[in-house]
Amino acid sequence: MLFRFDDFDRTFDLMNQLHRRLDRVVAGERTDGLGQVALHESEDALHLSVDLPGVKEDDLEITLQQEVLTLSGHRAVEVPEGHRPHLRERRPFRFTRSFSLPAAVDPEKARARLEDGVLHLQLGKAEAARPRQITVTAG
Amino acid sequence: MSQIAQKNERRRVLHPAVDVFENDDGLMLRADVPGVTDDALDVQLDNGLLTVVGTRTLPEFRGGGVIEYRRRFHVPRDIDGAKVTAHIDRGVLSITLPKSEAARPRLIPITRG
Repeated sequence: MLFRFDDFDRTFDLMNQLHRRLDRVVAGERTDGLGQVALHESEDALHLSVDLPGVKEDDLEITLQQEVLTLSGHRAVEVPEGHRPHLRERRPFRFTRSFSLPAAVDPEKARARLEDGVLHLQLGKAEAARPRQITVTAG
Repeated sequence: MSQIAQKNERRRVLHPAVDVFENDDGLMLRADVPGVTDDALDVQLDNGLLTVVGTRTLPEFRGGGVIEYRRRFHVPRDIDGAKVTAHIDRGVLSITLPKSEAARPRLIPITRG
């Protein structure tokens, strides 16, 4: 014979629904992981940052063709072995995003780092795309 | 107020998506908290109310300021608060909430008499 505690489940769900509503009323908004891509241009590089929680390095592809950058990747959301789900809000996702970069970049100067579920991408600008100071000489 | 002080106070509260699972040993909670490191995470269980708060600082080009990921849950009374553990991997938080020994299901052997 196996003792079960299913009556907890109902209380658990009900109370949590209430809490979720409360949370929403009090402050804040919902977020489900996959973020918007943020782009920043500095004098000698382009910097991109995007939230990709749960995405593994092997499941992420970054390609650069001419001035078009493409990010694609996916993640799975699994029920841990031997567990049963109570609440499932996290989504698996699969995405592809392409951008026309605002400046020519040098593929040799590209650095990508996936840290704490956030992708940081730094693309060094091609020499020709960097601003140059023109010295004015008195004539 | 100086501009720097204003920037420091900019804080946005977000409620991350959460999964909750159960097995005979306890509950497991998972939440998407990208950018949050273990040392910026606060998990508290008080009187059956689990409060999870994780913070991250955004770089200036992403708007700056602090994001606070926050969720609260009522958990069954039979969770052993002293044994709750949490860790973050690739921006995904996992919290393990073991049931107290007394609350775990037990298989009662049936003997023929």
